[in-house]
Amino acid sequence: MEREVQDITSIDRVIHEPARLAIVAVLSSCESADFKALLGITGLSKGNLSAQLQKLEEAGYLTITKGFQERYTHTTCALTPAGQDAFKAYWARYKALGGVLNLE
Amino acid sequence: MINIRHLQRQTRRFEFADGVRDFQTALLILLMSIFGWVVWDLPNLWLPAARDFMRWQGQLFAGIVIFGLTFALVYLVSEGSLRLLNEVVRRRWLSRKVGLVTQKKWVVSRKTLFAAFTIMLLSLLVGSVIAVTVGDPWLVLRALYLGMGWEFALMYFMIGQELDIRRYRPVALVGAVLSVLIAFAPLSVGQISLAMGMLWAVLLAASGFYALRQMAALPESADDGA
Repeated sequence: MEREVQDITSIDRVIHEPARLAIVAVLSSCESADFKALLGITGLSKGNLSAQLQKLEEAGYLTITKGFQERYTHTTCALTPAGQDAFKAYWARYKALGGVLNLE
Repeated sequence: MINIRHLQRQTRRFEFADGVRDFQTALLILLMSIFGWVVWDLPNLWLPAARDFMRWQGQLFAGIVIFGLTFALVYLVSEGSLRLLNEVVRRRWLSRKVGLVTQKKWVVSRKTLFAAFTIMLLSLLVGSVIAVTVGDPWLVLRALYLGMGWEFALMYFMIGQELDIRRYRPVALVGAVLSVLIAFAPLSVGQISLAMGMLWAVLLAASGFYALRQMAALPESADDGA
C-alpha cells in the first residue's frame, strides 16, 4: 500500500488537473486539433481553455500554432513527444491505482 | 471525474461525424466496382492491349506494371479525393462550425478491422467449399463479393457502435441485406461487381449528405476566439 501512496503523491500534477487532463486526452487521440474543436469536445469556456493551453505549453507538453484562415486567427494545438509520454505514464498510473482502489 | 475514453471517442468521432469520409469511400468503392466490371465483363477492352504489352515487355514485368499502375491509380484517387474534400469541405467550411481535427493514421479500431477481415475471409472460405462441392467455380467470386458487402456492413455497424454514429446502423442493415440479393442475383460477375459498388456508393453518399445537412444547420463563426 505504501508504494501506491507514493504513486499518488508522485502523479503528474500538470496533467492531473481536470481541464488539462481533458485537453491532453483529446490531443492524445489525434495528430492535432484546433481551438474550436477543443472547445466543443472538452466543453470548457474560451478563457479557461486558453489559460490551460498556455500552462500545458509552458510545461512543454504541447505546441500551439497560431495562423490565419481567411483573415481570421486559427489556433492549432498538438501534443509534443514529451506530452505524449507524460500522458501515457499518467494513464498507466491512473489505471494501476484504479485497480488497487477497486480491490480495497 | 473526467471520462478519458469518452473524450478520446469524441475526438475520433470527428472523422465520421461530418460525412466527408463517406463521400470519399463511396467514390473509391464505385471506382473499384467499375474496375471489376471492366475486368470481368469487358475483356475485349483491355486484354488485347495487355497481351501486346506482355509480348513486348515480358509477362512478369508487364504484370507488375499493370497491377502497380492499377493500385497506384486507386491510391491516388483515394488520397486525392480525401485531401480535396478536407480542403474544400472541412478546412474552408466545417472548421468554422465545429473546428478541425487532424486524425492519426488509423481511426478505426483494430478490433473492427479484424472483424471485417474475418468476415471477408470466412465468406471466401465458405464460397470456395460450396464452389468445389457444387462444381461451379464462379461461386467463389460471388462469395467474394458477398463477403465484401458484409465486410462493409459489419465495419460500418461497428464504427457506428464504437463512435456512436447512429446513421451507420441503417446503412449497415440495408447494405447487408441487399448485398445478399445482389450476390445471388442472375447477373454476371462483372455486373455483380458494378451493382455491389453502386449499392454501397449510394448508401454512403446518402449517409454523407445526411451528415452534411446536419452540419449545415450548425452556427458558423470564422474567428476561433483563442
